Amino acid sequence: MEKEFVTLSQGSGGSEMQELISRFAFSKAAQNAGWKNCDSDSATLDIGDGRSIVFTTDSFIVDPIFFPGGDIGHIAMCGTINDLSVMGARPLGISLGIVIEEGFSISELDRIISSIDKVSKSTGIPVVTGDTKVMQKGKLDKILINTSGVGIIDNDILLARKISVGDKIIISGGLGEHAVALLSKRFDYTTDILSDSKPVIEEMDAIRDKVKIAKDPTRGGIASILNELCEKHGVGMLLYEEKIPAKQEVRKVVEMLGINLYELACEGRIICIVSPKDAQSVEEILKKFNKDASIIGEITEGSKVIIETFLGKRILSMPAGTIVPRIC
Amino acid sequence: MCYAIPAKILKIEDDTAEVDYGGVFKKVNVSLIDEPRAGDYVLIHAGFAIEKLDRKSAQESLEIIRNDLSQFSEEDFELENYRDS
Amino acid sequence: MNKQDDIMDEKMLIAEHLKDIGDLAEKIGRNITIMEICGGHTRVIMEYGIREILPKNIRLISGPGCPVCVSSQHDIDCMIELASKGIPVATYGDMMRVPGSRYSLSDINSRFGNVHEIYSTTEVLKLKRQFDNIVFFGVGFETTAPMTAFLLENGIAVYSVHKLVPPALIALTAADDVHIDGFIDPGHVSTIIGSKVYKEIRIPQAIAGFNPERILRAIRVLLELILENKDKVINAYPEAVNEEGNRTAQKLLDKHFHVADSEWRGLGILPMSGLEVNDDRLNAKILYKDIVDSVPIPKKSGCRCGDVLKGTIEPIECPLYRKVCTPENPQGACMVSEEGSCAISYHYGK
Repeated sequence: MEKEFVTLSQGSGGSEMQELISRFAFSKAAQNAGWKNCDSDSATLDIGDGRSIVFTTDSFIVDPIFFPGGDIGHIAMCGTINDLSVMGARPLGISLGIVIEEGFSISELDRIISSIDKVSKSTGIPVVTGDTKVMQKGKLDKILINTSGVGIIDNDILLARKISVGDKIIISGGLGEHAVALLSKRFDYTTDILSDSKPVIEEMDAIRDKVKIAKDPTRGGIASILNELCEKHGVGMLLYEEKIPAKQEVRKVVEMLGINLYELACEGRIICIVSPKDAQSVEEILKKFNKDASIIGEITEGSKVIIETFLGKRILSMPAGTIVPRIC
Repeated sequence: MCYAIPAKILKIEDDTAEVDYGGVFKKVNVSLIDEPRAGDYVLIHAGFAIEKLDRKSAQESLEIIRNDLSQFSEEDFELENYRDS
Repeated sequence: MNKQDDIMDEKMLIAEHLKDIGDLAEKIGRNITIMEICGGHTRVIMEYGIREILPKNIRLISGPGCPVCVSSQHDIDCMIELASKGIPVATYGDMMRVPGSRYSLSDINSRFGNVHEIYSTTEVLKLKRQFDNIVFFGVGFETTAPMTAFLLENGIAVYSVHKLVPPALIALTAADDVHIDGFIDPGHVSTIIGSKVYKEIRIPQAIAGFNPERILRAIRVLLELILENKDKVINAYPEAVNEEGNRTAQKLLDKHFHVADSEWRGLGILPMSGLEVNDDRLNAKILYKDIVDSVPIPKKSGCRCGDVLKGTIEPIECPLYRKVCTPENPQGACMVSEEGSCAISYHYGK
């Protein structure tokens, strides 16, 4: 039933959000102007000489703003850098739009800016422009950050290639660590798990030549990303459940809260589709960065994502309903 | 809503226990448990411990189930002698 | 014993159970139907594709094991109406998106911000300090009712739609339209109520736990009982269930609730099958009688949750399933609750 107001689940990255976005209807005009991949992490524009501009944006409303392993500033930078990175692009510059609630602690603001600065320095990607606004107390929940990023890429390494049946699916590390770190405050538990939030530039540099498609599974987790890929490319997938990596503590939290591991957000992971001949070497390369990197499945005929357990099979659907609000 | 998973009690203060699920630590309410003690394993549902887990007697019962159901004593169950099939 | 050993043991046990199940199914010969009545069991079964690996003559169906789903539409409408009047309310997550005639609790919260989703009722104690007139929606079977009793013990008002499992089992054994050869009894409900409660129900039963090994263990035990035509209850989950159950929890339930007739979606009004709050001053149905009385009896819809809950049809046989009724646009509780048969079927791909 269509409602006359926006609901929380429409921001969750699942199918309701897709529905909400479909109201915006901007992609036609964008495509007419020559932009491509408007429904991907980053949109691209061919500028001649065999090169394209890559452009992306993301807004961050994570709650709590400081969590084990990171903060809103850190994920605001990494999120946008990674969106460009997984397209195979080298990010050139980031814009930083911040809206702050009146009364927000200056020392906390300093911490957030310092996080942003750290990421910028460690990756060599500058914040080149920005905007700052303050809203009256009570009209905004603490802080909201938007980052946009622009990069440039050679068209022949643009990672938006066709995938084929038999291609392998690889994840660069354990699932759900960002979500579990974040939820610890909301559900009042403690673990050693830190958010996996990090730039994935180095990994992408190492594997860029060998992968067909790369994505970062944030909101909605791999359930969201893999279902989107199936729909976009008209393929199915088979995942081997026993090969899907997740730390013990993450699995315990998943059990304790009754949530779905595959719908949990990561902020520093890559999921990539690789031809069978390159799969082994990509897995080896990624294992150097994180020992849990693993080939977790393959592309098949059909249209669904099927999980093979040690007993029987089941389908992994596109997430629906409020998965976890304000995860990023 | 049926989720209940085991955890080990680390320490207790009044009706609240700090438990370890296995690297995940949380405070839960133990008012539904008789004489909970640090070191006990309990089953936890929605933030409340609902049962102490007794590995030894569970193992014994499991052996019976594995091997020979007829070992369950007749008094344990009201035997209904044969239904019409 | 280390973790690796545990996993290997579990796989070996599963292999043994499957072999025994195969042998027993062959000896039984005829087609039989086993019903599980616990959303948690439905989940594990679907997660591991257990139905498909059982012998062909064993049909495993889901019964009314989802407490949100078996709450009557009228009760749900009443709870939503209370919230829509701006009364601060608290509820478990899977109640949030259950559809009322127009809105869900989640929708009410989008507009008014007065619906508090909680994970444990201990959080409601804190909420009470902020909102003195907060009402808790008590949904759940016997596993969850003690946590609501805890709130009543602390002077917090409750709208109770708690239900009891054994009366549902009795109603199902008497039903004409579904023939059941045995039940897989709920695990954690039994932790609270004890295994001896089931003895009066004249049908083979096995109490099961919540992983594939425990469920297959229970199925194996059940098939032995069915083969020998024995109306016994076997506790196949002794790790967490004993004969008496949790006496402390039972006493708390007796203190704060009395048993009353209750309306179940799909099963109608079952005598002595629900828990009603003892203290009128804490019973939201009485405190807000005017609001409750103003809620009309819901119109019939095409939703066939009731039949799904009885096990007479599979979700896929409901005309609304997937076509109109989806998790984004649920027509009935079975599609919303994480333990609902339709939601589980949908997510696990039927």
